[in-house]
Amino acid sequence: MRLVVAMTGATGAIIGVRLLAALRDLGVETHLVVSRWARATIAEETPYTVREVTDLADVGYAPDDQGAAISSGSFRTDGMIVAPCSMKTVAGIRTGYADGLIGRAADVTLKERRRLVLLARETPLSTIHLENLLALSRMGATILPPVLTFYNDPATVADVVEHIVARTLDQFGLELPTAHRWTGMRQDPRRATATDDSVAATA
Amino acid sequence: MPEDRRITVAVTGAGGVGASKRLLAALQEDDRVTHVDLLVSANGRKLAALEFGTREDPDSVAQALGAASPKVRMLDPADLSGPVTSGSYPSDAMVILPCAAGVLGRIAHGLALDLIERAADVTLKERRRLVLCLRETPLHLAHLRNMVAVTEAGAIVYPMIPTYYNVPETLAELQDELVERLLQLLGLQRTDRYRWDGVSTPARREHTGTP
Repeated sequence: MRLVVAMTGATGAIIGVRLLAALRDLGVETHLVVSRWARATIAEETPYTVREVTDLADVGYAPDDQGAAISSGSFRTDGMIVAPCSMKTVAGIRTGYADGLIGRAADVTLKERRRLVLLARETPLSTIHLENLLALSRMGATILPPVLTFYNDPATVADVVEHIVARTLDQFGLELPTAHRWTGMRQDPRRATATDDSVAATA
Repeated sequence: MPEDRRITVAVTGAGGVGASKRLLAALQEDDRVTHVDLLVSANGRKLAALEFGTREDPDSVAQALGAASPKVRMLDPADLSGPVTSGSYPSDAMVILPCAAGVLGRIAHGLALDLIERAADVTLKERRRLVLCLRETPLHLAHLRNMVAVTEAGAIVYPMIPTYYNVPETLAELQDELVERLLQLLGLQRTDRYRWDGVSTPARREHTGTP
């Protein structure tokens, strides 16, 4: 499998970093573009250098390299993930304003009807943000905001990141070994302490 | 901002009741808040029981949510005649935390099937602040249409997405920040700990040891 990964200037650079490491471990070929402001968030929010992050990918491109392979639909990929995805990037992709390689690669992903997954990171959301996300959803993109989840019973910030990465990989049929899956409330180990009677009754 | 704030809080069937507990604690501690109406849906009670390791009955859930102050009144969401069903009942704002996708959809369509959805309906018609802390991902077309619809009707869609620029070390800090930002939307800010000043925030300085 071959995927394009873009990191843009929204908080949550650590999600992109963990995603790249997981894709590498799963043997997926990654083509990475890091925007100018994602470089800043990598420095601000993670213990890694930009170089260490780009080294996780098989191929790296400069964000203004419009002539890169991933600018063309003839270069076959299995899809693209933008993690994290800023509202500026959402707006740019929505309008087809392919200024820069990230916008262009997303444009290509949509026109080739390949899977485009956007970890759109903003809260609260304005009508503009929502209309852009709605339009992209109509075009076939998957809108996957990196929200907090609790059914995975997270204990640390790393657990929160891990679960979002697992759900992102799910979009491509890739199984992260650490993934937690909801199998119904009755099967949840936390329930046993809560209502022993009902668990015993269904055993 | 009046110093006699009355807030309606609803907890519905999506994970994240730890954040609901933090919000309720903040509202109870806050002298600016005089009254809180609390509604927990049946699914909300199930999830609270699961996440807190308690029983599902309303009293156990109220206790687990730390709704102990006399300021808080728990209302039965099945009772459509409850006080918050009318715009004549004083309430300044309503927060649904967490907000299930189905609840969002019903609010977007004016379908007031229980007292939570009716209270949201009333909050919108009275042009009061309604904040929906949606916890769903990925989002399909209907979710997004509903999010646009409620936003156009005046609600604030506030997905439970954490920030990372404060370099949080624990899950508790993530939730604390989420609740603080929510309180800001209610005009009840407590701290400047998470306020970006163009360079950093107090929380970030503390976590990273940077100036």
